[in-house]
Amino acid sequence: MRKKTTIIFTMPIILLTIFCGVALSHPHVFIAQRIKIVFDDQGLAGFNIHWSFDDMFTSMIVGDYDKNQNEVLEKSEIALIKKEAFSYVSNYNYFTFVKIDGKHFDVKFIQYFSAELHDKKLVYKFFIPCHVAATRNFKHVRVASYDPSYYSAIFFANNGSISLDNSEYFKVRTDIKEDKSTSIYYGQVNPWALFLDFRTKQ
Amino acid sequence: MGIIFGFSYKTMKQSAIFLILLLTFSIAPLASGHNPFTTKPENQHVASMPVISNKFFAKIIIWQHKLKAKMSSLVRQAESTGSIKPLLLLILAAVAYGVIHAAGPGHGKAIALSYVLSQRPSYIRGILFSSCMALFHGASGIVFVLVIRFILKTNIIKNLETVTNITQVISYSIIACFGLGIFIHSIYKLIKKHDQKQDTYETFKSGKYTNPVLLAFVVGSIPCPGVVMVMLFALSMNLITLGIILGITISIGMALTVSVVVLIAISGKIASLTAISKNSKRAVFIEHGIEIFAGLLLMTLGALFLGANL
Repeated sequence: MRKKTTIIFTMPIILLTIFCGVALSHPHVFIAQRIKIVFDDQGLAGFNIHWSFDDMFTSMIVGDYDKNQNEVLEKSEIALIKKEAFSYVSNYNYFTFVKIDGKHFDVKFIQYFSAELHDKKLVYKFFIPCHVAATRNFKHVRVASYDPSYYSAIFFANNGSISLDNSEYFKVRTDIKEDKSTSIYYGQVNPWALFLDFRTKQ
Repeated sequence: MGIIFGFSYKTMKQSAIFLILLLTFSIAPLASGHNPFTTKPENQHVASMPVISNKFFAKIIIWQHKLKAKMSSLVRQAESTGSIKPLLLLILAAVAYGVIHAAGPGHGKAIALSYVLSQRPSYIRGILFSSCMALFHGASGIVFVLVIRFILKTNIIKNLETVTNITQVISYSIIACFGLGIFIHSIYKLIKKHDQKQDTYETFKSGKYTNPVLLAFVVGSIPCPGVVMVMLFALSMNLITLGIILGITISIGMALTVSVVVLIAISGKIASLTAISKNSKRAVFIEHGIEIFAGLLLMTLGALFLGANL
């Protein structure tokens, strides 16, 4: 009986300790993401990424980088934002984790970065090159979006989260769902991911 | 079967496994506290296989997102209408945000837990410690923004990283030393009491407390990025007073969560000790064991965090 009581009352301590964790970070930044899937003559060319940040992170960036406080980000301000408040995410594969037919594709660089204020929200736009030639059989590409450091939470936007560009010559299927093969935030969460299948039409 | 301090080897082995599991689960999910947009990572974090899958964590993220969006729209409403009508709702949203924000990983809950386990169980001191810790955490965010924006008039993001890093190094060094102190003191007490055979639980319970406010200040001195962002958002609309009110109310919400965690831990410790208090020797030994372990845990956490920030 005594042993049972001891176990009953010490269990909360174990559970609390597991539950608490000791991590210092948790989502402080919230990002609504849209992806435009871009095709070329050969097949997949890459992804245009559109990140819309929450009001509070926006005010943090705007306060520091919109030097003339005109609520428009000029070229020089964008260059500084890219250098000081974006380029570091290259250490985290730009929060974009791609698998092509089950094999990892490391996102090492991006192109055409821009930052702007849209409806008082900070928006980052950039292009991730990812060339995959189309064949008669479906190619399967998975794009999971998450911040492994747990500082930011990335959601797909409610409306128009996925769009296609130059896809007329290909049969394309897209789906957004939890990626059960990946666990993040200390194994507690399966990230949302774009599941893309495509092949030539003929 | 061998006996040590009135315990069988089997009981000792079970206790050891319990302590190892506790330590393992406590330090496993170590993560960076730095903004990945503005700093290099100390080390690359890789998503791991789940230890325990829990949808609650996913819900916490979504609730925080919704509450933050609600707060933003209410602040805008207050600014555009000049009305204090949204204020009550805003304060409620801020408290709820604080509660949920602190329910996720971080905010020193593991350190708070280690601290209360290392002390004589006292609900009042537990609440005092956890409340002070959360309030200092929020207050340091408020003070940071006011100093950087109005006195130094310089870049928030760069300075937040620098200040966070400096306060973390100081804070974790003190926590590690404090843990080492508790660890050595507890072992010394255990050996001394065993030699003097004065180990009745009643005399043990009358032991001295360590000042909770001081350690709360040490742990809470690191600015809360959540409070910093809310302050900056309010400041962007020239609502300084509202920003301070929101910072304080978020801290009150965080204090509620950390207090609940600490109170459950204290209840667990009291219940465990009461269940075995008929055997005073055993109760004293268990209490010493918990203290030694908690000191070791504090020291380990302090050293691990310190290592991650150097």
